[in-house]
Parts: sequence; C-alpha cells; structure tokens
Amino acid sequence: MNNPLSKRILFLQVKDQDSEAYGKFYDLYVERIYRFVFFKVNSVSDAQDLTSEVFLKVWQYLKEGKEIKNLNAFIYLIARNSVIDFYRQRNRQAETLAETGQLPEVPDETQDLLKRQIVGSDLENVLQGLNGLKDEYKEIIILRFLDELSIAEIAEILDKSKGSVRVLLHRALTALKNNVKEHH
Amino acid sequence: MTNKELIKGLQELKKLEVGGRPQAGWVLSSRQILMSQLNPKATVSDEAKNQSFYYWRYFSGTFRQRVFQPVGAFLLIIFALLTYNATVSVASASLPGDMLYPIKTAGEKVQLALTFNDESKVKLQMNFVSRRADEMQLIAIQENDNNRKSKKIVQTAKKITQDNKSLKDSLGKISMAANKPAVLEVAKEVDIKSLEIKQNIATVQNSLPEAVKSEVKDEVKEAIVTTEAVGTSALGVIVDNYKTGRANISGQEVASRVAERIKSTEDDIKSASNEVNDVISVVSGTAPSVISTSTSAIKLVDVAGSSTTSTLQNIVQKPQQAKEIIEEAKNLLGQKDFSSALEKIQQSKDIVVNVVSNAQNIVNEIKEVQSINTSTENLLLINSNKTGSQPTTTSLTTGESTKEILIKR
Repeated sequence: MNNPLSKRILFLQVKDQDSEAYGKFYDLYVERIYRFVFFKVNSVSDAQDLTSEVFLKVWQYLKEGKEIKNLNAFIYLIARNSVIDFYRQRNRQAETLAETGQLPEVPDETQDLLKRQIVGSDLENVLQGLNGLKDEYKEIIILRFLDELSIAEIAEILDKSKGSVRVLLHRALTALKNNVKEHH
Repeated sequence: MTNKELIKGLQELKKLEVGGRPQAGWVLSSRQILMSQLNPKATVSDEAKNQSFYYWRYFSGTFRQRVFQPVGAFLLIIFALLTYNATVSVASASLPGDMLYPIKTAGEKVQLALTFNDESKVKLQMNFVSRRADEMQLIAIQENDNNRKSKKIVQTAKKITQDNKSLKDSLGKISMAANKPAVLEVAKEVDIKSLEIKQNIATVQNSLPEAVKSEVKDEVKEAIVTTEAVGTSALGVIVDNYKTGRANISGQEVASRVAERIKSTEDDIKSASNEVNDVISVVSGTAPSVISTSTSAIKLVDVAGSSTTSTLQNIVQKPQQAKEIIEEAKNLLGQKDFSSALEKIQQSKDIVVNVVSNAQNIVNEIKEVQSINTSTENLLLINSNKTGSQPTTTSLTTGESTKEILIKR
C-alpha cells in the first residue's frame, strides 16, 4: 500500500464506511499509531488499549457522517487526543489513590523486560536518548525516522508549515544527538 | 555518533518491540475485535464497492481540484485584468468632473503603489503632474461654460500643487542616495519636464477669458510656483552631483540647465513688472474716495505724495531688485559657481512670488472697496432723493474699515 494512488482510493472507500477497506486501513496504520502512542505512554498494555480505541473512534466518527478532509492527519489527531485523555484520567486516579491512601501504580514489567533485550548496545543509548527528549521533539523524530513520513505529511499532521517542520526536525535531531552522547 | 548512524539506529529500533513495534498476536486479535465491532453502512452499494468507481471518483475529484479550479481562477484573473485595463484605458481620456475620472486617478494610485523603485516612482509622479497640466489645457479648450471651466481648472491646479509637493518630497528622498547614476538621470528629466509643465500652465492661464482668469488665478499661480520649486530642487540635485563628482555630468551641461532656469526666472520678472504696472494704472485711475477707504491703498496714495516707505513703492522696486539678483546669478554662472547661482535664482523667484501676491491683493482690495462705495452711493442717492439733501463724501466714512484721509494730488 505504498502506492499513493492506492492509498487515496483506500481513503475514499474508508470514507464510504466500507468495513473491508477499513480493515486494510487498520493494517496500514496500526504499527504507526501503536508506536506513536507507545512512545507517549511508555507502556505496552496502555499503548495496545489506546491504539484499539483510536481505530474505533475514527470509525465512529465516519459513521456519524462527519466530513474528514485528511484521513492521514485525522487519525494522528485522534491518537494524540486519546493520549491526552489517558493522562488526564490517570492523574485523576492518582489523586484518588493518594486521598484513599492506596499504593501507587506498579510500573509496567513488560517494558522492563523488553529494555533488557538491548542492554549495553548502541540501541539502548538511542532509546534512552529518544525517551529523554521533550514530547515535541520525540514526536517529530518518530514521525520522520520511525514512521518514515514525508515532511509534507508531518506538516499536515502537526498543522505546521513545511519550513517550521524542517527547523523543528533539525533541532530535535541535534537534541537527540546530544542526549545519545551523554548516555554513551 | 553521526546523523546517519543515529537515523540508522532509530530505524533498527523500530524493528524491536522496545522501539514501538506492536506484538503480532495483539495486532491480529485487535483487528478481529475491531472488525466485529464495525457495523458497516448498509447502503454501501455494489457499485460503490467496485474499485473502478473509486478510481473514477478520485480522478474526477482531482481533475476538478487541480485542473478546473486553477483554470477557472486563471480565467477569472484574465477577465478581471482585461476589464480593468479596458476601463482604465477608457478612463485615461477622461477629464476632471467626468464620471470616469475617479477611475483614472485610482488607476494612477495603484500604479504608484505598485512601483517599488524610488527613481521610477519620481518619474511616475512627474508624469502624473504633466498629465494634469495636459488636462488643464484640454479643459481650457473644450469647456464652454465659464463657471464649470473655472471649477475644473481650480480642481486640476490644486491637484498639481498637491502632486508637486509629494514629488518634491520623493525627490528629496532619492537625492540622499545620490551615488546612483539613476538619480541624476531622474533629476535631469524632472528639471526639463518641470520647465515644460510650467510653460504649459502659464499658456493655459493666458488663454483663459478674463472672468475665468480672475477666478482661478490663485490656484494656478500656486501650481506654477510648486512646479518651479520641483524644478529648482531637481537642478539642486544635478548641481550637487556635479560639485561632489559623484556622477558623470559635464560643467557645460550644468551651465546650460542653470541658464535655462535663469531665462525662465527672467520671464517671470517680466510678468511681475507687468502686474505692477497694472496695479499702478488701477490706482491712478481710481477715484480718491475709493483709495481713501482701502487699507492698502492708503499707502498707495502716499506714492502720489512724499512717503518713501509705501507698499506700492516697495512693489514697484521689487522687480528691479529681482532683476539685479538675477544679474548676479548670471555672473556666478559665468564663474561656474552653480550652487550660488542657484541660490540667487531662488531669491529672485521668491521676490517675484511676493510681488505678484501683493499686487493682486491691492487690486482686489481696491475693487472690493469700489463695489462697496458704489452700493453705498446708490443708497445715499435714494435717501437724498427722499429728504432733498445732497450726499457728501464725508458720509462715506462710517465704520472702522473706512478712513477719512486727505488726498494730496
């Protein structure tokens, strides 16, 4: 589905609420959306739940007959808003737990297990460097180098001009390089 | 770590779960759950599911968006340009007071706003002033009604004055950056054109009927004065360029331009002398009672007597003074002292403007008093007819504006 024309046709089918086409759309975007969410929540289970939620939300939106101009940018927008809602909810829960005197949330063990796989390698430095970046930088690095989106696509998603995306990307890459150097 | 290595690292990372790769099992199960939750739109027809239908929809949409819309916009722009050009070219023949004249001036404003080069802006402003002078000429020829003629000429003359002021400012601005040869070229053009325009306005003024001439005199005079001021400024720029050697201009060329300006000033002095003679003839042909009630004329009357500080005497002497100053300018020109010559020309011009203005004031005042006295005399005549008494000269001397003065003749 790398062919842009096929992608456009698929989007038209999705907008027509074709469930089969939506399945293909899921196949095309699931990895990207999962990764986008995963780096924001830093937990496999939360990323899985949120990703499933994102695809369902987009479908519901389509079913309501609302117009979506750019499906590509729209799904990232829904993903971003879902993460924001997730954090809001978690903060509320933490406040409630603190008030009731219950124990704080246990860290995600799967994540720790996964990290152990790359201990001591260069990739560990890269991962630590990436996680040490501020959200804005982390997001643009993921979109450009992990999801391999074009500058134009990123500009659409982030609702920024191509020029400012280039500037932001340059700064993010420099910051990442510095972080990696520190961890080396 | 280089950028390349870093990017390679990131791409390696994404292949791992720790780098955000979702677990294959979860991807499948999540898909199944999602598909079971979807409630596909019942109305999606077989036609809609057909791939070719979507290809057609995509291409027609793209064609409309990428071809029809830009072509439509392009045609719209072409149409707007054509109609704009047609309207402006029709309006270019219009004269002040015509329906299309505001379009003509608006077009000029647009043209000026779209000119970003300062030198080109000055040239354009000069052309507009020249256009106004041509319009004045056409009004003088084409308009038959004297009232309308006066009104339109006053309007045009005011516009010339206003445009000349902006032109002079723009000229001052570009003269600061006098290193550019273009500045000298513009100054040369303004120098020549201002002389032509001044000449044209003066010709129009002389061709006007007496009734119109007196109505428009002040505004036309102001238009001529400001045109001359623009010309003198331009000549100043030329002389300055010659003096500092910033631009390539020969002393001979500067000399001929200064000589032209001297000649133009000499013509003005001649006109000023004629005006003064007119004033003298008006004064000498005016009844003593009229002169006695005119505040300016009070001093004029003294001319016939002994006072040497009178206004008229001053006015009479002024053209001579201007002439002497212009002679000094000629001498300075002979010595190739162009800057000083230019200063003398300016001094002489100032005197001429002052003389013309004062002379006109005196004539106006006498005429005004003359008309008041005529109406008062008529009134007294009616009263005397009623009472049987004789009107006397002293009975005119009522109020603050009238004064009883013994006339020495």
